[in-house]
Amino acid sequence: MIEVSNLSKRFGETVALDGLTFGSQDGRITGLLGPNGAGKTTAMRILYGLLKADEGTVTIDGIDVAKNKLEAGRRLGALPDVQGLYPRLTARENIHYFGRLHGIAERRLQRRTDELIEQFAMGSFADRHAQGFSHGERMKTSLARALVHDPRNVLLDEPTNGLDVPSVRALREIILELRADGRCVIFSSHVMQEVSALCDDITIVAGGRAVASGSPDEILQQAGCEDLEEAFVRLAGPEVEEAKL
Amino acid sequence: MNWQQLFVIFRKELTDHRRDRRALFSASFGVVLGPLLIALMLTQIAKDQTAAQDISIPIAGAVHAPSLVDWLGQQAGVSIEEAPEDSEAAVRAGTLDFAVIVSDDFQDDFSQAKPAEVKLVYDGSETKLRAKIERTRRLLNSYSSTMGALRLMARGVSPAVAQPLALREVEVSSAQQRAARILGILPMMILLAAFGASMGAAADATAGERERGSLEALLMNPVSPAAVIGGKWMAAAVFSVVGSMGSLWLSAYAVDAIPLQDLGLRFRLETWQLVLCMGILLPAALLAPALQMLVCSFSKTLKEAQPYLGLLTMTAMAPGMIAAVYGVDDAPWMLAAPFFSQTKLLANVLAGQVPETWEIAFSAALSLVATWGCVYVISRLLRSEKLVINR
Repeated sequence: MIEVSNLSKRFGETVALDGLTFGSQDGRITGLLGPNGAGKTTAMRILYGLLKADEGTVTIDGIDVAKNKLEAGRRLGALPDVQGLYPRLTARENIHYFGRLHGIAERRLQRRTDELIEQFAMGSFADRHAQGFSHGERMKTSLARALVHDPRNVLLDEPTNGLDVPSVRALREIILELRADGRCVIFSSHVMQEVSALCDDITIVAGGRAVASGSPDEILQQAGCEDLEEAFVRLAGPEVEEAKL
Repeated sequence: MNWQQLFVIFRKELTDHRRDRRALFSASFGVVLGPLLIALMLTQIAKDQTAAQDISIPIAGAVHAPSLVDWLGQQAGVSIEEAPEDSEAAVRAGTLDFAVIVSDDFQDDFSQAKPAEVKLVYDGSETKLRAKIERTRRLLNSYSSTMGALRLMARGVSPAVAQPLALREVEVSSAQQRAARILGILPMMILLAAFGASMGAAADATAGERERGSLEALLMNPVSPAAVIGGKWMAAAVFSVVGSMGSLWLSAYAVDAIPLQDLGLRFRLETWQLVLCMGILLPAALLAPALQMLVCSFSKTLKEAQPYLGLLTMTAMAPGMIAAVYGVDDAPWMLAAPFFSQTKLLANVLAGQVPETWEIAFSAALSLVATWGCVYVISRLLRSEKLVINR
């Protein structure tokens, strides 16, 4: 369970977040939908403790990230928008590295890695160096790496960027499995269709603020229109409208 | 500080760097370069020196000065060969190494006790001939002064009258110290090996990690920056320590294998001296990767880091190089300059001296404090939001 309340963050003159508030429940997929530059990545980075918020709080399973980063980190697995694998390590070694940093006992780590490799169908490339991996292989490896410590909460920052269709479908399946396990999944994207196809709850972010929250149906009601894309454009404001033209 | 995490990071970095073939290649090149250079230079000097012991002097116009030629031929290791009439042209053209040309008037001038002309023709830019020329000149001078003395005696004058000065050269440096002067570049080559060996690892662990975008993923884990930097530094230090120690050992081996006694030098690095050298070297080998990592932390890509790394190496070497070229007397302040102090101490040990314990300890302490400072500053940098996300 993740609670974000009244998050603000500035970089010099630029206001990245301006009082962002949203929540995400266990066993549900929450979509952060917003145009590029809306503050999604900044919010994610504050969630996994890389940045400090100027104001507001983030709690993960009730633990304040700002106050107890290490403990919150144990309950969180994140796929940042830059996936940064180590090219001279194999997929398996990449996963092991993060598992060991989490202090997972060696035998359990081996078992957990095998499990993830099986679950994500990574068998064909698990023992190859990451140097030459396709986008899809990179994504699966970084996701397995993020999930190695079996976190209850999962953050995915624009995970579908650059993926081909089969990989997107594989990812979608993985996300649904994560939900079926009862995990809390937050998924950010600027692609409306992806969010609407997967998410139980949607928060539309624009200008560093949540402009609408709720189930897809509730969003439609709030926007007063039939079509989600239309609703997104109307709620996200003029900048999206311009971008569309 | 979580030591288990530090160890995990250390192990991963070692595996990672070990697979970086390009970095490994350039690292081993730096390690071998010093010993190789020293070995080649010493072998060459030894060879030239041996060449001068047995020397064949080409003489043109030998018939004009039979007594001189006979005298030369009687000297140990000297043989005479006939040189062509136009020897000067032959030396100019490079077909003849050097030549002694006796003038046609030699006999007349000599018998009238006038200075008789003998020309020594050589190309001074040919360094490998220098020893031969020097020997020939000494032989001719020696003949000249012997004849001069005989003439004075024949006129009832003591030869001592014509010798207002009694110049006697006393060389006080031990053979060991003379060898050390030639081996003076060795400490710097070994330091260079330390820098070269850890360069790839240090750059990859900092700028490389930023360039790939893996730094953000790494810091998402529950790790402390101190453990991250500590582990990375330890891994890079393995390379600089192994590299510099290997270079030192190879150099000692090479110097041992070269017939230095032909140079009139006796040089051997005893085991205890080798160990002492390693002890002096170690703190410098630990500091080099720390400085490299600090410098690379400000770069977003490996390419950007490259010039800074080159500049760093140059800066660290500069005092030692200047001292080697101009010759600087030992002064206490030198112990306070990292790398320079190690260069000096190593040179002392190579010269057969034993530095004071406090000198070694002082130089080591300063380098270790600087190392700790670098690691501390980089860990602080890692808390900077700008550095972590601004790629």
